Amino acid sequence: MSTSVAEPAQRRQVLGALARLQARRYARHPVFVVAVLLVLLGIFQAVTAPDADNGGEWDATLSFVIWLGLSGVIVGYRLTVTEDKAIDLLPSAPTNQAVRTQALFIACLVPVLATVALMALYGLANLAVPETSAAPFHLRPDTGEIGWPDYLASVLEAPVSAFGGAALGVVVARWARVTGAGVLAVILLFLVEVIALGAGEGAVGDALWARLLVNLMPYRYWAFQGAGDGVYTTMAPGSAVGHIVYAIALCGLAVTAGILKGATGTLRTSWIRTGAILFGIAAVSYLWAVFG
Amino acid sequence: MIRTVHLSEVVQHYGSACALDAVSLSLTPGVTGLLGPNGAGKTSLLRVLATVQEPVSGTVSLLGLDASDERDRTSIRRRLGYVPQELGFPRGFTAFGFVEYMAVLKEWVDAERRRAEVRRVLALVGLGSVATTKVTKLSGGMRRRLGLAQALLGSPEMLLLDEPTTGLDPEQRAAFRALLLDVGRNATLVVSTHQTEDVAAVCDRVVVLDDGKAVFDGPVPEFVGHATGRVWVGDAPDGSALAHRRTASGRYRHVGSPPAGSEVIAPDVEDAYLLLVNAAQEVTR
Repeated sequence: MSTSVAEPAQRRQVLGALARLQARRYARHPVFVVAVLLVLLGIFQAVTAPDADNGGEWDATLSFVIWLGLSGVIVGYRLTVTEDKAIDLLPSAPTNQAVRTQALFIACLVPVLATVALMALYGLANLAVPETSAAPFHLRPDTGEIGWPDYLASVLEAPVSAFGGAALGVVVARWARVTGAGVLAVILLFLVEVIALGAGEGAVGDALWARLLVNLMPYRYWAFQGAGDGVYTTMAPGSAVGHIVYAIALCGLAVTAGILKGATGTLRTSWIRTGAILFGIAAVSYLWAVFG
Repeated sequence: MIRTVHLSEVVQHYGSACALDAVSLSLTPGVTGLLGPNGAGKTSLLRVLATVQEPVSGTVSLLGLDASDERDRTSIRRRLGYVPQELGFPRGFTAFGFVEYMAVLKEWVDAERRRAEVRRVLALVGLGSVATTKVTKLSGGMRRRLGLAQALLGSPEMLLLDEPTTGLDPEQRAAFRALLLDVGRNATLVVSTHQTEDVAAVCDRVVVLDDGKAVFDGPVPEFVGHATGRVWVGDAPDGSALAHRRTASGRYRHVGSPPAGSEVIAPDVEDAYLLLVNAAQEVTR
């Protein structure tokens, strides 16, 4: 009893109003607020006291992913789970679960906007303090260390992960009705990412299995300590552009999975079709990321 | 009179347990009380009426629309208000925020009109002064009223309330009943309750469910009339009675077949209910 039959125009208006409301809930969530503050602290520290051991560089993308991406899993999960506290009441409203889920996914753009804004802030801060000029990514296209497409793709990893983290939280809440599933998802994601990113580091990163593993992750960084001297000077093997397409496809698959929960009829059919297309894109872009 | 609710042979199961056993019912605008012991099927019936749950079999027609049809169901939902028995609230909302959230789900897309409507229903249930208070800070009675506020959005044609007076103090209950009487003038209002005083105070009609079956369906005076000559008072509990209860005067009120020479009195809704349910259970035994 859950698919939508409202007129499209009205459904869009409801979705817009609901998304604005959920976006406000996201922006006010304490975990998100703390994550933003921690990123601001990181920016302040990177600008005022650059890390000498790391060539004065601070990979802003990694910091954003850790704070805004991982915290997003918790926020997305909590927003969904706490909304469902009214689960006995919600199905009696004309707006169905599919629209409510879509609104939650639109609210997942809040950490994306925050990431973009904070990256811009970090970039501006670096203009003021030129000696920390790696912002927001270790390798610089203007000095020829990296091409512009790879540079942009590497930088995009942060906002895409910010969306992906929050979207994952929504999906986990929709499908895994187990207490603490959100926290468990964060821990698992963190551990798997750490292991995979570790495998992708240094000389090991050249091995095919390591490339297969690290590119399978929803987030990866591309700056590579070629000489193992702690200075990021080269690009890891593979295609950053391929990986960002893969990461975006994963986000799309998360949205698909979230909306499919409880969907029936034509809605279900159309989203299954969308999911199949996204899966195909994810598979091809993954191979591009590994071998490109 | 327009028939707004029509149920025919509605069956609902939870595993092997039968919640509704071929219930047939027709309701018209006005207030209908739903009485019955715990587990009688009251909540299941309200969930079916609220289109939250689809019955295993039988037909459900609400406001002239077929509840099994997806498009009709959405149209029904646009015209109904529902307060479930266990109403949870999404975390982080103020009283205003929660009702506004429900208003959005009920397709109030114009922000200005929506907020005006939210203010109206909050004032209607006496929560205007706590609109900016977090739901978690509200008392149990206030939360019940908040649940009612969201149900009143848009003055629905059909209002379904599952034990709405639970947790309300006597003063709040009186105000609540006045509100129900007012709403019931223009809408089909179904109130599930354990409070027989609520039925006496606001209902035009009563449906009694027992073991998933509708064992009575008719006007309140007719319901009470069934107990005429079957209620008596005495100074001590009488073992021959189907049920007895102590009254404020310290005497005992009995229902059943009055013994010879007993002081027979006029029945009320509770007497009629006790008589009906205990007699039904007696038959089952």
